[in-house]
Amino acid sequence: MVRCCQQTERQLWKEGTRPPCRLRLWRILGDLHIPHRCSGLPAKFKSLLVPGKIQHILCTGNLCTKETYDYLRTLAGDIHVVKGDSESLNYPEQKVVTVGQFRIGLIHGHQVIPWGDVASLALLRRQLDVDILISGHTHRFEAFEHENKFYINPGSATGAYTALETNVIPSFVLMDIQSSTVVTYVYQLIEDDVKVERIEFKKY
Amino acid sequence: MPLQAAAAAASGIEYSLKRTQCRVEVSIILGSIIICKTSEGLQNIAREPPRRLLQYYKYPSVKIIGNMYQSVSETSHPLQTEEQEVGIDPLQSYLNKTEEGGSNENGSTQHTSDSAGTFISYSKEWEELFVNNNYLATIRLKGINGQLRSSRFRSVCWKLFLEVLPQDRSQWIKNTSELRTSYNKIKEIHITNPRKAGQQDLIINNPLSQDEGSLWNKFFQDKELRAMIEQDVTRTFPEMQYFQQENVRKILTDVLFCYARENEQLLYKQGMHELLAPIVFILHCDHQAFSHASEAAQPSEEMKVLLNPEYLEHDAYAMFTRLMKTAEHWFSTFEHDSQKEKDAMITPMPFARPQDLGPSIAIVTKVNQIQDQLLKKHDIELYMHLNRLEIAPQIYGLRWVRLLFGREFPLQDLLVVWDALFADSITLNLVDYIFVAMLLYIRDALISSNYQTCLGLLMHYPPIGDVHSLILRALFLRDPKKNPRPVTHQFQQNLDYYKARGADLMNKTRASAKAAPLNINKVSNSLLNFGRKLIAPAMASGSTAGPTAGAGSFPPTTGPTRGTAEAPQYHQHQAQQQRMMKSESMPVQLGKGDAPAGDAALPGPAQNPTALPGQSSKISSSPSIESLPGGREFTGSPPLSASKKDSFFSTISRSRSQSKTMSRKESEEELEAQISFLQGQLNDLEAMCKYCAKMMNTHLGNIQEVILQEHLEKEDEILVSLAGLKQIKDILKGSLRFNQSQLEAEENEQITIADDHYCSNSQNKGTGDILKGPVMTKQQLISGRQTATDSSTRESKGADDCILVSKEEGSRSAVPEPAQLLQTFKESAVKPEAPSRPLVFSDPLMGSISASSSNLSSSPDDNSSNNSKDSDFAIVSPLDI
Repeated sequence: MVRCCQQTERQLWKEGTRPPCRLRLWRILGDLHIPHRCSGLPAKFKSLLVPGKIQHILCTGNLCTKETYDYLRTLAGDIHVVKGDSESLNYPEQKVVTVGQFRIGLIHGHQVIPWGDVASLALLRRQLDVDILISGHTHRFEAFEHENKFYINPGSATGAYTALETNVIPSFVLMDIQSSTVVTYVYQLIEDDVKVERIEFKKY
Repeated sequence: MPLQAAAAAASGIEYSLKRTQCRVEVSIILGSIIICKTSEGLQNIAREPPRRLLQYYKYPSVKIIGNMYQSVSETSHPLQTEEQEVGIDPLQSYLNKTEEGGSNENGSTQHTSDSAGTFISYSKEWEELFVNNNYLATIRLKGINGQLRSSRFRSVCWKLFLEVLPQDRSQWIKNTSELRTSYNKIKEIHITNPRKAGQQDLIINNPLSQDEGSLWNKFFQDKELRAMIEQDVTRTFPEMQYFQQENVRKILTDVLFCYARENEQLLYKQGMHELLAPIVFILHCDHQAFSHASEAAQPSEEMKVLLNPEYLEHDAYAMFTRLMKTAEHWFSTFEHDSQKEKDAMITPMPFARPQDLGPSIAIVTKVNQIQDQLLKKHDIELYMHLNRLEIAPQIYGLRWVRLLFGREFPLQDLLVVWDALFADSITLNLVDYIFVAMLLYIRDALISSNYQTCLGLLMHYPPIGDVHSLILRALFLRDPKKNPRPVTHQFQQNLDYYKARGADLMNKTRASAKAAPLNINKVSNSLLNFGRKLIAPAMASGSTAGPTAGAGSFPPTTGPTRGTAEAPQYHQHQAQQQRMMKSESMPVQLGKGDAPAGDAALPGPAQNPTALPGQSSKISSSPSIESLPGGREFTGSPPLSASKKDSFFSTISRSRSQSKTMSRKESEEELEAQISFLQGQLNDLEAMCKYCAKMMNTHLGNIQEVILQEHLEKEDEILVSLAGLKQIKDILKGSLRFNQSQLEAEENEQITIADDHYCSNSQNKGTGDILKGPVMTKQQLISGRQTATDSSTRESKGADDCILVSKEEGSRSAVPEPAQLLQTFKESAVKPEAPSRPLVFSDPLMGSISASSSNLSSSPDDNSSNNSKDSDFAIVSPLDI
C-alpha cells in the first residue's frame, strides 16, 4: 500500500531528465576475435566491468560478431567502433571523436604499414589532425608520447593470438579525460592477476 | 537597457547601478509582477516590498507601463502590508502600529532611492526584531501572525525558531562559525574526488576497483545517490528561475548529499529537496537584501557574519538538519521492529481497513492518527465521508506532511505557513492542525463530491485565498480557548477541474474507475424515485425511534434510517442553524452533519411556505409546529406525522415546478449548497443500496447452496421465497424497477407485497428487517380497513404505519383474551403447540413461522400459506372484536 503511494507520488512529481555526469570514463579496447580465436573476455576482466561505471567505449575493431558488439552495448551507452580486418559487420574505417579539448582518432591499424610503426602512425595522426591516436591490430599494449601527441594501443582484450605472436597478454585501457589532462589506466592480465598502470598525458 | 539593468540587478551579481536606474528597475520589475499577478492569480505579491519582488524577475512579461511605478509603490509599501495583515488581535496590531510608526517614514524614503535611508530602515528592522529583551517571544508572535512575510531577516528568525542560533545573542557569531566549519568538514569527508587520490596503491585505487577502501569505488557508489538527488533537484520549483541556476542546484545537491551521508539510516528520500529549497530561497533573499543594504553603510558585525552570502550552503545545511530532526521519522520507511513482531503474532483484525493492516510506518501512523482522531473530533461528517469513500489519508496526507504542505501552496504562501509552523514550536505539532484546517477548508466541496472529485481536490489542493486564516483556524482547532475564533472560509468553486484531475488520478492508479459522477441536474429527478425506493424499508425498520431522538437535540450521529417524518421541520432547523453559523462563523458546522439520508433533506426551507397552501387542513397547522424549537410534541401522534410526510412528498414533486417562484427569501447559493449536499447524500444512499444488494446476493447464494444440498422436504417453498428475496435484492440494486404506484395505491400494495413476501415471511426464518415492513404494513392496512380509526390513515404510508402497528401491538398485549381465543381456534384447526403460542402474538412474523413449522406434514403450497394467512387474520381479528 505504502509503496504504491510512493509510486504514485513519484509519478505525480514532474518527470525530469537525468543530469549529465561530470566525471566520464572512456574504455578503449579492441581485437577481441570472439569466437574465432578466443571464447570470450577473461573472467577477471568481466568481473571488473560492471555496468554503470563507464560511459563510453572506443573499440579498435575486430569484434567479429554482432553478439560481442551487443555485449559491449550493455556496458556503456555510447560506443564507437571502427572496422577491423576480420569484421563481419560494417563499421567505418576510421573515426574522430572530440572530447572536451581533445580530438581522438580511432583506427584499427592494419591499414598502417608497417603495423604499429611510430612514424607511420604519426603520419596518420597528422592526416586526421588529432591529439590522441588510438590504434590496435598488433595485440600488444602500447602508450607513448611522440611529438607532444599521445598514442595508445590497447592491445587485445581477450588475449587472442596473432600471426606473429602467440603469447598475448590480455589488456585494455581506461581513459579519464579532465580539462587538459588525460589519465589512462592500463589493465593487464598477467598470470591471472590484474595489473594496473597509470599514465598521465598533458596537452600543452 | 532598462531590461538589462533589471536582469542584472535581479540576478544579484552586481548592483553597481546609479540610483536613478535603481528606480527604473524597481518599476519594471513591479510592472512585471502586476502582470503576473493578474495572470497567475498569485495574491499578496503586490504587497511585497520590492526587495522580495526582485525574486520574481523570472517573469518574462516585462512591460513598462506608464504610471506603473506610482501606483505600485503605493500598494506595495512594505509596512502598509503589515498593517493589513495584522488586524487579528487588537492589542497586537496596536503594538505593531506603534512599533512600525517610526520606521514608516524610513520606509517611504527607502524607495525614493535613498540608499542611506534603505540601510537605516534595514538596521531599524533588525533592531525591532532582535534588539530586545524578549525578542524571541516577539518574533515567534510575528511568525504566527504572518508578519514575517515581508521581513528581511526571515532567515535569521527561522534560525532562531529552529534553534540553529542560540537564544543568547552573544553566542550567535561563535555558534554560526562553529556550524560552518563543521559543515566544511562534513563536506570534505563525504564529497570525494577520486582524481585527488594521491599516491594510493593503483591496484586498490583504480577506476574499476571493487575494493572497499578505494576512493573510486566510493565515488561510484556516491554517484548513484547523487544521481537520485539530482533527479529530484532539477525538478524543484520548476516555475522559479532561481532554482534553475546550476550553482543553486549544486548547493541543493551537496547539502542533501551530505545529509544523506551523515544519516546513513535514512539516506536521501524523495521530498527532502522540497524542504530544503525554501530554506535556501529565504537565505538567498536575505542575503540579497543584506548586500543591497550594506552598499550604503557599514553593517554591524553580527549582520555581516549571519548574512554572509558565502555561507549560504553551510547555513542551509544547519537549518535543514535541524528541521529534519523533527521531520526525519516522517521520511523513514523503517517499520518499528517491536510493532512488527506484534503484528506477526496477532492476526489482523477482521474488519480492519487496509491502511491499518499494512506495516506501521511512522508517517502512515501519523496521518491515520490525524484523520482518525483529530478530524473525527472536529468534523465527524467529513471523517465519515472520507471513510466511506475509502480515501486513506496517506494517499494525500503523506505528501502534505512530508513536504510540510510544500506542494499545496504557492511559495510565498508556503513561507508564511512555515513561519507559523516553525515559530510555533520546533516539534512542528501545528502540522496536524493545519492538516485538519486544510481539510475543513474544502470540506463542503469534499462532502458533496464523489470519490473521483474528492481525490482530485485532495491531490490538487485548490488555491487558498488567505493562508493566514488557515493558520488561525489551525490554532483555534488546537486550542479553542486561547485563540480567537477565526472567520470561516469555505472553498466554493466549480469542481469540474478537480473531477477531471481525479479522473486522471484514478486512471493512473487504478484500472477500474468508479461510476460516473452524478450530474446535479439529474439529482432532482433521480432523487424522487430514489427517495421512494428507500422509504418503505427504511421507514418500517427504524423510524419509530427517529423523531424522538432527532428533532430536539441534533445529536452528532444519525443513522441512514432516521425517520422521515420530521424531515421538513428538521431541515428547517438545520437551515436556520446554517444561517446562524454563517453569521457567527462557527469553525465546525455540526448541524450539517446531522441531516438524515437524502430523502429527508430535500425540501429546503424555501419550499415549505409555497408547498403548504396546497395541503389539507391538517397541514395548515404545521407551520406553527415547525416554528417550535423543540418539535418533540408531535412525534407521538400519527395523524400529524402522517401529514408531515405527505407534505414532504408533495414538496418533492412540487419543488421542481415551483422552483422559479419559491426563491423569494433564500439566496440561490444556499440552494446550490443544498443541492450539492443532497447529491452527496444521494450518492451515499445509492452506495448503501448497492452494498446491501451485494451482500444479499452473496448470502442468498449461500443459503440456496445449503438448501440444495440438504434436500429438504419443502424445498420448493424455500426456493420460491428465496426468489422473492432476490427480487428485493434486484430492487435494491436498481436493476428491477420498483413500481411507484405500489406505494400510493393501497390495493395494489396489498396485492403485490402479499404476493412477493407472503411465503417468505412464513418460511424463511432468516429474513431481515426489510421483510418486517411489508408484513406490518399489510397487517395494519387490514386493521385500518376493519377498524376505520382515522380517515388520514388511508393516505398514510410507512411512518404512521409503524406507529399504528406499535399501538396495535400495545393493545394486543393489553388484551390477553383474544389471544387465547385465537389459540383455541388454532388448536382446533391444526395440531396443537400450546407453549409457544403466547409468545407468538408479540411478533406476527414469528407467529407465522412457528405456525408454518408446526404443520410439516401438510402440503407446502396450500396449507402453510393458508395457515399463515390464518394467523395474520387471527392477529387482526381481536381488534375487530
